[in-house]
Amino acid sequence: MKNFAILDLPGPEFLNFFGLVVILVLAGAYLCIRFADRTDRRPPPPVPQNPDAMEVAFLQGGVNQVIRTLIYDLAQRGFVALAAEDHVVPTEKQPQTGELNATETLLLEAVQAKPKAHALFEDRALRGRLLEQLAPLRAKLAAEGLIKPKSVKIWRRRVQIGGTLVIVGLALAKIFVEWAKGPTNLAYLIFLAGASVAVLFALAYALTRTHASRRGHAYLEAMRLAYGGRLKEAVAHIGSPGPEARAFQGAALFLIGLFGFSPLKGTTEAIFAEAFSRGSQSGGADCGTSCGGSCGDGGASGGGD
Amino acid sequence: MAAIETPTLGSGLGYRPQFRADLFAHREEVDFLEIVADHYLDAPREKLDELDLLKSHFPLVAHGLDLSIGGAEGLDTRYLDKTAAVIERIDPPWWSEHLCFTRAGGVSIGHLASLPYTQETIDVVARNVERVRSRIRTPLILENVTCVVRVPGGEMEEAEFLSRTLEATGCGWLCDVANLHVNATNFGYDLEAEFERWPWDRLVQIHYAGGRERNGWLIDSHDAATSEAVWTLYDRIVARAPVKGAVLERDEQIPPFRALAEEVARARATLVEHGRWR
Repeated sequence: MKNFAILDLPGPEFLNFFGLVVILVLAGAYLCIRFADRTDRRPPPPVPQNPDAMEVAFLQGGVNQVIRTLIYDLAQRGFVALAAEDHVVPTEKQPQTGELNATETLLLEAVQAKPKAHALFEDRALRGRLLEQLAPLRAKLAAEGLIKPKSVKIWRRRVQIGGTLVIVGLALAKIFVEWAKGPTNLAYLIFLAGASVAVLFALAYALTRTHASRRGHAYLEAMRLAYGGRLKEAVAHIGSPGPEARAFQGAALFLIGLFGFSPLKGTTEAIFAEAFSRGSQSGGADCGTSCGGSCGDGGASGGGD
Repeated sequence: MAAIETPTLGSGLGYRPQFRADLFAHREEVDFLEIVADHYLDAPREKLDELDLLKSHFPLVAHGLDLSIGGAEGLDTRYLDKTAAVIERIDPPWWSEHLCFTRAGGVSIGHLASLPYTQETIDVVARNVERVRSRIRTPLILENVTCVVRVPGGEMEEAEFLSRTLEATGCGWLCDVANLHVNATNFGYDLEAEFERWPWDRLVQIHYAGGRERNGWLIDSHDAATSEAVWTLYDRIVARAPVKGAVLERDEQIPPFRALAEEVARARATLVEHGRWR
């Protein structure tokens, strides 16, 4: 190893070289993950005239966004309510036979235990059953290239492993060489190597955390642009007397899937934004598990709220 | 023979962002859109995204407001370049401007001012159109405007002026039916009797709109439903001339989208009735 002249460079010069290697690794990681998703070679599909709320929610934020949208819809229809300390509770209203579909029924069953909002995100059994029910929807979106292809997940693992090996390997080689010469202070190099690996993982996470592919993002963006005006109208109706107060019911429910609860802030329904915002924050642990598999299984944490 | 060889577009609508969501939710009710090019000059990213979104969902044509094609002082090169950029972006089958002037002495007058009906003006317009063509290859069609004051010294009537201008420039005609009606009413001439004097063989597109009356004077304000008088004239024009597209203009007091769609459907029915559209 002593034959590698680069390892015999003095500390500051080696650190410059090490920094250059880290930059190249990060740039390579970005390019590998970026080009693993080539779905944007095709233009996005036309904006739907009657967007499906579940499809939009799943594409926007995976299962978490589906849960948010369904809970909001059930609350609008009077089957559930938000109680103190972010608990989601069932009301006395019982659905008629056939009034709720299977997914809605599943959520209504889940809230019988009066869970906190974030507990719904963390309920693995609920997530698993929702994913089962959403499988046809997911397959349809995957066929259209709207959710991230599996190649993104494969390349994320490759760049995480490969990049870590390069960074840590180079650092260890230098440490080995310096120790062979005698006692020396390598704390900064160790810190730099650790920080670089952390940045590599953060970059890989940031590039893959969303559920939609690049084509899917373009599709969602087109929908936001096309229907953004309707969101403003709907928010303006919240709290108004009469049936218009349920501004996001029916055909307008997809707006919740598309924009999340953020637009509800400042309205009489801000409680949803608050409860599920706290839920999302509490769901950090959930993110650690589900985001790891977000590429393709729909488990991504929503974002946007 | 048609004034320009272009596809037929059907019954369209002047795009305004206020009804964008309803437009996308009911897009089968509108055959094509006319965008105002001026709304996208020096536009921020969001407006350009909007333009791209519209282009990916509808056939588009562009309509300019401030080229001042009849201006004796020539054209504003920067404005022309910006307009060219918008037109290149959407690649329409044709684009339109008003046969008027909007600048004088380097100052924008904020109004579509009527031109003097003289041969000298025709020569000016022809010169300006040539300049436009050297920059924008997309066929240009010219729209008749409402006349508030007839410029003294006119050598001909509006119909002849328009015919000779289109002949001299080789441009197609964007016939604003409401403007024809407004001018005929305000200046008291019989449009019915003079109908054949207008250059129907150069007709490409139609504009129609509703306006209002103030102190016995009709104003083309684009703030009301199209009047029966304008519809009657529209029907006659469509029966007479091979129009390739008709566009509803509405700028103020925009009603629920359903009302706009009904007018567009009404216009389409006439196009279909006379074999101008499928």
